[in-house]
Amino acid sequence: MNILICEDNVLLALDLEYQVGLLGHTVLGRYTTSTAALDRARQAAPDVALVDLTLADGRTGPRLIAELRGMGIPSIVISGELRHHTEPLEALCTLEKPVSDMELRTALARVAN
Amino acid sequence: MTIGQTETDQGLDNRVHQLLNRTIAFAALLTPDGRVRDVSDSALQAAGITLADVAGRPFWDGYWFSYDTRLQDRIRASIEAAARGETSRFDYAARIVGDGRLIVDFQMAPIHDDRGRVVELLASGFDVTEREESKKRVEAALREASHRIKNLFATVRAMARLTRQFSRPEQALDDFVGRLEALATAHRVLGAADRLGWARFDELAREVLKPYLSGMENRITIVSGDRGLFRDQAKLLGLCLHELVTNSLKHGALSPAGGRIEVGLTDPSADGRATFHWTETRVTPAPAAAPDTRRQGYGLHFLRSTLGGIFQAEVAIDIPPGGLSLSVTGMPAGLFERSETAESAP
Repeated sequence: MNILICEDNVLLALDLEYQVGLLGHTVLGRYTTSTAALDRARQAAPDVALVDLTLADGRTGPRLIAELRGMGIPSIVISGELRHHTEPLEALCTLEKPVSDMELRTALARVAN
Repeated sequence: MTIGQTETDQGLDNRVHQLLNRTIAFAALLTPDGRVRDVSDSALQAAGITLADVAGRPFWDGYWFSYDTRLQDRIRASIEAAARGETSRFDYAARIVGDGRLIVDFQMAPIHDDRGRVVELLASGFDVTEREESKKRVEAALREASHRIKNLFATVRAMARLTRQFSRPEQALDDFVGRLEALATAHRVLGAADRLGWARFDELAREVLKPYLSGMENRITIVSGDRGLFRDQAKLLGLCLHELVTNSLKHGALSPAGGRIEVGLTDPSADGRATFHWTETRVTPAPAAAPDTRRQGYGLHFLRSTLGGIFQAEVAIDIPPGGLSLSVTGMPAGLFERSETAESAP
């Protein structure tokens, strides 16, 4: 699958890219702001996006997820603050940081099905 | 107060009213069945009412409680308990002028006569709004801290996995520990007690580079703007400095061959653009050596990705025989502390 990474901590994004690569997927890009991620999604039509709720342009993850969904792109939320997030999210599933290989593999398998 | 009272009774009522007023709490005196006899001026003023509005009426029907029937039931239950001789204590939100709310630490207590019969009830309450609000602030800060700890675990694990990916096995643990120490140093600099998670670039750079510079401090120049750098992105920048300095010790201007380094970060311009650079100049050009691709793998991959991510721009890396030079100009989102905070800080 082609995967978009939206994460403001570059190191975590690099690690996700590495994890995703080991699982045999392709990363279309790592983005730290929702605007950059959305621009890329419009051009490249990824199969799924990995999205943190807080990005470098603020708490824009939930809106990004909604916009991607409008384009038919499912999102997997990866966040350290899920327990404190009360609004509903239009995401395929949510993973709590730090995410294990197994959790990521299972979540990506749900996209493929 | 009541018509037909004797002068002595009136004098007593006056004293009771003064007593209610002299406490630092809201206070009300009730009959055993919960009708209002007297209320402190503070409680009347808070609600914007007069004693005549509530005197002789059920206490639970008062302005303070009448916005919520469950609260009224609770006050009523406390009155029934007090009539049986029991004291109740709980917090509730009292309605005040303009439909505002005060959090009140409330107590309903019986007053007995000489023979142990309940003759009156004393309702009292402290305004604990401030305390409750500061509790909420502390809770929010704890949530934020927990979020940051999770991010830190994720960061450490990412460093470990990237190190495993790129370092030679016999070198990997030392490489990882060096990176972990750099992260801890950045955390310490950014978490200094008088700050809210920010530091200037020169403070961050000095501390991250210090362990590697003993006796060579004069070989490095740090050029810094005045703006504070903010937590997470600044920590990543600290890790980049660590990669750059360890690389320089092995292969560049800090190796035995000698040389100089200038490292700098500009304040953002009006449109938000800032430049980071690391420039090494060696005294004598190094002999051409076979490139160590695995080491370059981590260092360059990490620097290119991390600085590229922080600055949202391409990183220019030049590796002439004289040492490594790197520069990136871009719009770093979330790197600089919002200016008003930085300006107000000491």
